[in-house]
Amino acid sequence: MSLKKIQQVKKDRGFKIADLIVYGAILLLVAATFLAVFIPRDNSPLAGVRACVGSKVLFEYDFEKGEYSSFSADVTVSGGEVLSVRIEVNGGYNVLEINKSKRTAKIVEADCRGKDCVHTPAISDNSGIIYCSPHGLKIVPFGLKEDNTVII
Amino acid sequence: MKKSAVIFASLIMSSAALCGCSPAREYSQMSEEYLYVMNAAAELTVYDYFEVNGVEDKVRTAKFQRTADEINIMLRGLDSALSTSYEGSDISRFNAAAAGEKVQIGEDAYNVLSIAKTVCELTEGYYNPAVYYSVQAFGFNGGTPPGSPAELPAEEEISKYVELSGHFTDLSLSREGDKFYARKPDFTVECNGEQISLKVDIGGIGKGYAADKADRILTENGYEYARFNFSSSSVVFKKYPNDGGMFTLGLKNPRPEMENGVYAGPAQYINIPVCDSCVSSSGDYENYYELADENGSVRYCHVFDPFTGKPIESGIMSATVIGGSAAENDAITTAIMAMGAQKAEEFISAQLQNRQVVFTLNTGNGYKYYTNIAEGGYELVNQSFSRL
Repeated sequence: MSLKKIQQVKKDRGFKIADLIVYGAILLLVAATFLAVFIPRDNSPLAGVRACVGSKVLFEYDFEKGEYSSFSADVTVSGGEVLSVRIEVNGGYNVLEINKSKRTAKIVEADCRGKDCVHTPAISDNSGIIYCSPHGLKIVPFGLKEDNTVII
Repeated sequence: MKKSAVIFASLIMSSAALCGCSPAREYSQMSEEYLYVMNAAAELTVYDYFEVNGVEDKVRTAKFQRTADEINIMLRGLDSALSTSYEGSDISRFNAAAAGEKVQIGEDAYNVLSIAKTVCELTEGYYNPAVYYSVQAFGFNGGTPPGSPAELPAEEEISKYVELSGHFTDLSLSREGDKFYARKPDFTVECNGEQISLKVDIGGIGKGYAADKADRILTENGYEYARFNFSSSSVVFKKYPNDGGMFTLGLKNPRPEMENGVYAGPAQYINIPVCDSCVSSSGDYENYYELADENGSVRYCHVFDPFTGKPIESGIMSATVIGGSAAENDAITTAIMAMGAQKAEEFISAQLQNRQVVFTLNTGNGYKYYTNIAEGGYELVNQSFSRL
């Protein structure tokens, strides 16, 4: 190697500014890809909700169609703009309120112990869930992704 | 050379980040809710290939149904053996027997009473299922809750119950061939004009025992990816099909902040990764009432201190034990809540080295949590809790 070449290599910095920009962009891309894949929360507008006991669906409301379907004789629906859905389940009851214009679903009344379900905030996007543990009743958005969390 | 190395490293990092956490297998999920058993709802969730290319695998579905039915039958059998409200149950017949009488019981009642005696000794009496009369007198488990402090049971009455429950360790169990027996302690106390003998309430252990049996049924049926949640009191975690097999166990904040009648913030105060473990939890928020006196509102919960015969006043709000048997854990969490923080820490250090334990404490000035899980083994979700 010529002396000139050796001196040029010695003077050369480890990373030039342009290199750093490229590397930075790659790292940002990696980070963005990671976050896009692993942030599970889905904040898109609530498409609809289901009331289930285990894998059995008792009731569902579709906000897109503005329609509900009841699959159990133990479900009573009343109201207009705000639907009141009374669900008799496992020896007790829960009242689910569907607000059509606000696109929310909330349990407003129940006879369970502790009333965790009543105190749980309304579902307003596709990531929320309301669980009444004593009655085994779940209110879940249509697009809810599988979750590995169990709260006891 | 340097550029290509950096780009190569970036691609490796990206691939590792994506592949390392991606689902190992694509499962469809199936779950079934059971009817009330022991006044609680139980949920079984099994992960399996129930659907392939949109077509149901009927063999797997039928196998799941058989397993669910087996668990359902087991739960109902336990309910009719262990219930204190069903007159024909083993435990009710034992409770109705005279002092000193030998009663034939079923294998499950025998096993549960054996575990109860073992944990009673292990916890030096802080778990004691013979608090039956106190529990009833304070209005839990079928009793009528008092409407005011004046309606609370008298100290003299409670002291009789404590004297009686102190003889729980005299209960003897025996097995003759395939028959099981429990002999009641030959001891009575006079209370409100009548002689009463020892009675037990094994609600604090029954759900855990049921969870242990469900765990065995799942294993016998070859289910590696599953969970069984018995009323959020005892949970069996097998493996989760993604996330490296780990479930996230969130422990409920015992004093959740409220805004306009709904919880503000996450429901849990701590997250713990778990798999292949049985978990049991107790909390003073599960079943309680409050009565106002001159010092303000007093909380009376369903967890009792066997040495006072009254609802606990230890400041411990909740306790959770992970690992080992759910039945033992069920009883141990009850004992920890009665012990108080200092005694509980000593007990956990001495006796529970192989289990993960968490409890929360209301110090009067704030909320603290204790755990023997090392830093990094859990995630504190609610920063208003500080470590003891």
